[in-house]
Amino acid sequence: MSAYKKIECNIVDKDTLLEALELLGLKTDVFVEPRHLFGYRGDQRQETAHIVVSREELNNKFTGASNDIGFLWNGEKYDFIISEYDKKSKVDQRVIQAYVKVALEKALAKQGYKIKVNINNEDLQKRAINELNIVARKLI
Amino acid sequence: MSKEIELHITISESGKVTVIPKGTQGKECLEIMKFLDKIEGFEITETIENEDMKKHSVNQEWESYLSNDYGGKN
Repeated sequence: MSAYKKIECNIVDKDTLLEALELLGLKTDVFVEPRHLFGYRGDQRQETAHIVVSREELNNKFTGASNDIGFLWNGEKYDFIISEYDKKSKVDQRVIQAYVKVALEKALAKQGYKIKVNINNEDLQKRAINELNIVARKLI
Repeated sequence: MSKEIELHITISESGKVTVIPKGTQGKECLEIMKFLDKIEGFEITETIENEDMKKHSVNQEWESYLSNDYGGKN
């Protein structure tokens, strides 16, 4: 064992983001031009996004009175647009955790690692959120 | 002869990642973990050396001393 690293992540890759949202069982709408988000009462919000997960999707999976969440491409990375309510329900953490998982698994596979994860993909769609542990192995 | 290395990775609830390598140390370890720096959007916030790493640095300094100073005088 030697050094270890601590890493934080920005959402930069569209495909990885879409895969992460799919992993959470969330359907997405993707727009070339950003579209307005809608609140839990169906009211149009001023915020816009290129990738939108509807409040109905979130209500079905994780919450009860969600607003749309969105991802707006700012030229360098995606700005994650999310309401306070959904933040309190840890929707943002859930999405970022799934994004990191997908991005890491892709990078590890490219490096020739075999991967074991402590939580099944199906369990990521349950309401409880947990720490993920990955063991990656390879011969050098 | 080949050997097996492992990366023990934890992704916290908030998406923060900790990677601990096993079966490797020193320069080789840093080399093996380099790919993490290159993942788009990932930002390395901290690299922490453990005891193996510190010993490695001390050995390197000692070797350097022997070859440059002590070795040079003889």
